[in-house]
Amino acid sequence: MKRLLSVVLALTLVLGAVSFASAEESKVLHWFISGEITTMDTTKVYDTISGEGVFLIADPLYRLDQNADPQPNLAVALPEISEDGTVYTITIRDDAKYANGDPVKAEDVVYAVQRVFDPAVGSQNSSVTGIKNRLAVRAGELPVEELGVRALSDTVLEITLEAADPYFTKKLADTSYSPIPKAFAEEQGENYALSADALLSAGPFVLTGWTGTEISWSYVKNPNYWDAENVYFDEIVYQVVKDQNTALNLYEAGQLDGVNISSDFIPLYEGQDDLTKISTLRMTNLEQNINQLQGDGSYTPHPVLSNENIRKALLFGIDREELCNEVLNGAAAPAVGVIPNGIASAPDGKSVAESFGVLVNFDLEAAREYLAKGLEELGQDSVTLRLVTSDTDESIKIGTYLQSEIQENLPGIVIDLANVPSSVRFAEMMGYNFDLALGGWTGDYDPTSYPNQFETSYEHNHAKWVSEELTGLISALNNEDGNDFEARWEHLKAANEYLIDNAVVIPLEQAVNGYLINPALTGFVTHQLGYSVFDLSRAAFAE
Amino acid sequence: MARNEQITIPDSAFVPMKTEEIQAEPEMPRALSFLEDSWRKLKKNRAAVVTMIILLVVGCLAFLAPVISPFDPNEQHLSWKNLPPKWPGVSLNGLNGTTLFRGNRVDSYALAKVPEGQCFLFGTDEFGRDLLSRALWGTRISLIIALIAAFLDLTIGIIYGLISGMKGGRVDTVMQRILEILSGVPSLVLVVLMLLIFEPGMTSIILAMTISSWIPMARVVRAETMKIKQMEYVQAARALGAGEIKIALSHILPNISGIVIVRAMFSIPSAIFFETFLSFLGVGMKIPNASIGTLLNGGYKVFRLYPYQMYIPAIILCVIMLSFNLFADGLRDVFDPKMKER
Amino acid sequence: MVLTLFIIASVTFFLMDALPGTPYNNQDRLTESQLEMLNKKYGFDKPLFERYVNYLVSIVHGDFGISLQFSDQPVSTLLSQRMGPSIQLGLQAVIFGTLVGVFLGVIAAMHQNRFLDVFCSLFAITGRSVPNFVVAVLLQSLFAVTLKLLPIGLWDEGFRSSILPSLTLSISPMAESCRFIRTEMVEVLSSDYIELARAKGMSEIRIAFSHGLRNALIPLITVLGPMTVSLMTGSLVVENIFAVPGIGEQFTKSILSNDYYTIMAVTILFSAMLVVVIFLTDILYQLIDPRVRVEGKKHGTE
Repeated sequence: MKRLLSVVLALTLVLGAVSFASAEESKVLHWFISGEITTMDTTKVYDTISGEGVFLIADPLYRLDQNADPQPNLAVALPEISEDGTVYTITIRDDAKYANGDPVKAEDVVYAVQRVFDPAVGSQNSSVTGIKNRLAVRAGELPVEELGVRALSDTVLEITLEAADPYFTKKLADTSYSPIPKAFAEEQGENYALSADALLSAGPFVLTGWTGTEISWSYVKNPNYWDAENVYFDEIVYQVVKDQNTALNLYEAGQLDGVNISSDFIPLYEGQDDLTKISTLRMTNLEQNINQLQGDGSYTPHPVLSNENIRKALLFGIDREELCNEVLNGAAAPAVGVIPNGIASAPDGKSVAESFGVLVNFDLEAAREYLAKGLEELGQDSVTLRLVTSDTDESIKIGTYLQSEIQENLPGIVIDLANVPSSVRFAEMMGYNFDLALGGWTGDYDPTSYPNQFETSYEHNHAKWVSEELTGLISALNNEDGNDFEARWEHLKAANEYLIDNAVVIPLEQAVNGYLINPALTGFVTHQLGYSVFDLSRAAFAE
Repeated sequence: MARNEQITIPDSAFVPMKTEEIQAEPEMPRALSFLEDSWRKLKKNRAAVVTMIILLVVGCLAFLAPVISPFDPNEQHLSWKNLPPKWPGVSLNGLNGTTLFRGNRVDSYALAKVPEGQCFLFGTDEFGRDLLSRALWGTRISLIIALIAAFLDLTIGIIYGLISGMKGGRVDTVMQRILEILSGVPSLVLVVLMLLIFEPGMTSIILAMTISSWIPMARVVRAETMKIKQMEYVQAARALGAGEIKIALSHILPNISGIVIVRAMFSIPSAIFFETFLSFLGVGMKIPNASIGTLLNGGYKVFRLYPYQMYIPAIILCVIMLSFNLFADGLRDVFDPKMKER
Repeated sequence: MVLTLFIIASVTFFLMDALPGTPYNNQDRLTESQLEMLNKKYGFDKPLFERYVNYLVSIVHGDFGISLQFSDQPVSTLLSQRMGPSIQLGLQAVIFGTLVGVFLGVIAAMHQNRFLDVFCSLFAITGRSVPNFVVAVLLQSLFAVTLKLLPIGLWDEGFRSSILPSLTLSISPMAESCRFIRTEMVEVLSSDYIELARAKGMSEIRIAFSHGLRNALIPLITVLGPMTVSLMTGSLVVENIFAVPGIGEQFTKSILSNDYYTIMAVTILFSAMLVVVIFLTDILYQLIDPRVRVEGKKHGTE
């Protein structure tokens, strides 16, 4: 009996120890995403969902740190740039491997970039710019090999640009520059990237559980990754949650470690550790159709909006502080001009707001004066303007507020709100036959991309504003200024001022995204621009 | 008395009536007209009477919305946003202007510096708009939509179903196939196309409803018609030479009135939900106009924070629906010839 | 039946082509040349009629095209992966809703105008008086968050995950069944042959179920048939709230994002199911009530 007892006791201890050892759980992060994956092909990424989706399986040349400075990732060091700034030579690691153990070569990066512009692939990507011959290749006029990327050896890459771009190194942090093995992709053919099996990851994680339309899938640690020892999580599970209430319920129940939070709910979590606010460089503007397209293809000035005084009345007649704080509960910051604050610093270190000044502010008296003059010039007591919003909640909220605000502050202007689906809205805007529209714009790290929106020849210049002066400035920035930061800054300042002086567009606010994140999560990087907001590759739970 | 005992009544107990007395008989109550008879029967049904009163009150309030709303429904007061309901003199939590914020009760009205005496009976929304005014106007619009839906049902739906069911044969087959085509083509495509021509708002919603909301009624009427036209009394009427239309109107219609009324009552919430759904997708009512649908959508989004914003329009909708349904039951009980008064 | 389907598909195809905008999600940022290249790749630059014919030909071969929203996945993959949960929820909702609804309806009819009648009717109508997202949010709040009895959402716990969404969706069939059954039964219960059955000593319950029900079923199945089809093709709102990987959203999102092939496929799917269900319903009429004749034989003075 005693022997039996001691045997049982021993067994229990052993079992207990074994289960205790295996109770060391795998480290799993439960993350959210707002919709199903739109593409897992790094060369086709065109929106934030696909951007998030591919980030963990991609290994771009550089990664941006929290200050948005590029740090070597797949590349071993910052690129060598030629004198004229058009040729970038990059050396990549020699120990980088794919998930199946194959070595990563420079020609794989070349292949990836070629795919972005290969008409047979049909990528909607618009973030890779500047590379020589890209437009001709995409139009099918030149073969893919003529694209300005080539491999000089297994580990050296050379990129040729059409013009010098001081922000190009930052742009190299895009996941489109992640290596793809040509043989593998061609073997998969049409099915490449359509399921987890048809992908070969070069990044810190490997995709599993995805065959195309799932609302939940995971990323499992890639043991062959060159930096695997710094990757903390064994698994990251992504869950699609489209409903805000449900997302909050799941977060509070601990089933998700991070969710996004709309402006309505920010006050509820204000002051708590969970709330993380990320300022972005996404501008929301009130766009004006200054020249309208007529049926015969000609452009005529808009009957009301071609009057500069009316435009200025609108520009100064909106209280952006109230919009951002009261209506959006801090989910936005007032715009300072056409170029967002925080995108870059002046050569002397000042911010955009400090250097360019806050050009758009709320000045009711001035606005009313402009209004009076404008109405007199038009010979009318009141004008009606139709404002088209998009169908997101935020857009509708802003539109509703603007209608009330404008009508109250500027009596004489009547705003007619039209909430239509985005396809209808897009058709109107691209048909250049609207009055006012609530538009959003995210450029890239080059501040030129913001004023560029209104340049005469730009395809999505909804205002159809024609100006040689602006074209001159933009052309200087794109082609002449090169790496001369002083000159660039001067031209940017001029472009910014020009657009505001002529009230070509009415900047409203810069978005601030709200998230609830498990306070134990550290080591993640957030981006203000680009297709992925979170870089979770080196994230970890604080022990 | 024993069972078989004969009772003897002397002849003298009987006195013949004189002619004058006969003619001086008090008058029999005259036969009631159909309407008066219906009203009498309806009054006996307590539920029907109560709900009829409720409907009349709601209808009046909604109709008078422009006059009795304390505020313009679209007027924004941003500093007074998201205030809970406050009823003067009431101290029940939920009606006294306090909110539970992170576990503590706070006086939202004081925090927002609302002047003494300013009470919002239904609270305010995210823009500080008075929800009572929005509810009044919203009910007005929703009732209009509801009545139009019921009207479409009761006209197009019934007529289509009657013809289809009565005629039978090839006419029926073709008519049913047309219904299938109308149901099969996605109505949302038509709605979006309409938005290219019309502005968002009542017009496009009503047009969208005209295309397909009456189809379930048409189907039900057809089914019932097919069932009833085989009945003996219909055969009899036909043998007597009654025309198709007379049969439809005087025999079939009254006998299907029960089901028809029930179905019509269900088409009302369907119409309101259809409008809600369209607004949810962004193709419904023109913003910022209120309808019960838009109030529900807005309230649902912030349910976790300000539950009253969803509860209030939901309760209004419930009350209207319940009243319509119970009242309709009462009506049906009155009109249906097969109903015996219990 | 096939003819109807063909007409529906064709009408939808031509209407859909008139929708404004492009199927590319990123249309704000695409350049003209990119747009041209993409249209060429997907064949959207060909004339309307040619595309129509090509599409018909490809359907016959079983190729339903690709979904532009889902990174070029074949539409058949999309449907086969996402239909399952919607069908499951739809069937569960209809079966549960109808059974409970019929039961409530019979009870209500048997106690006409008295307390139980009003109570059952009220219960059914209240559920139907609020949109399903209100019911969904309340159920989720009560059972999942406060009582923690059922999952908040997601589809990872098998049957348990389907309970709350099915319950939400069952309100509609429950209410319609309850009200229809009650209405018909009330009439039937006061008719002569029922009086006879009562006189013969049959119990109320037997009367209700064996005699009353038959009559009441016809209008009910008329409505339930198409309702089942729309429930099986998923509900956008309920599936979003409970994070169910169903097909419901595609019925609206594909239209709003101009995902042409998906629009066509879901339309054809929905219509096919509808046409089949209507056909079955017609047959069911005849089974339930042999006096009803559908494909009209000439009779009497017609």
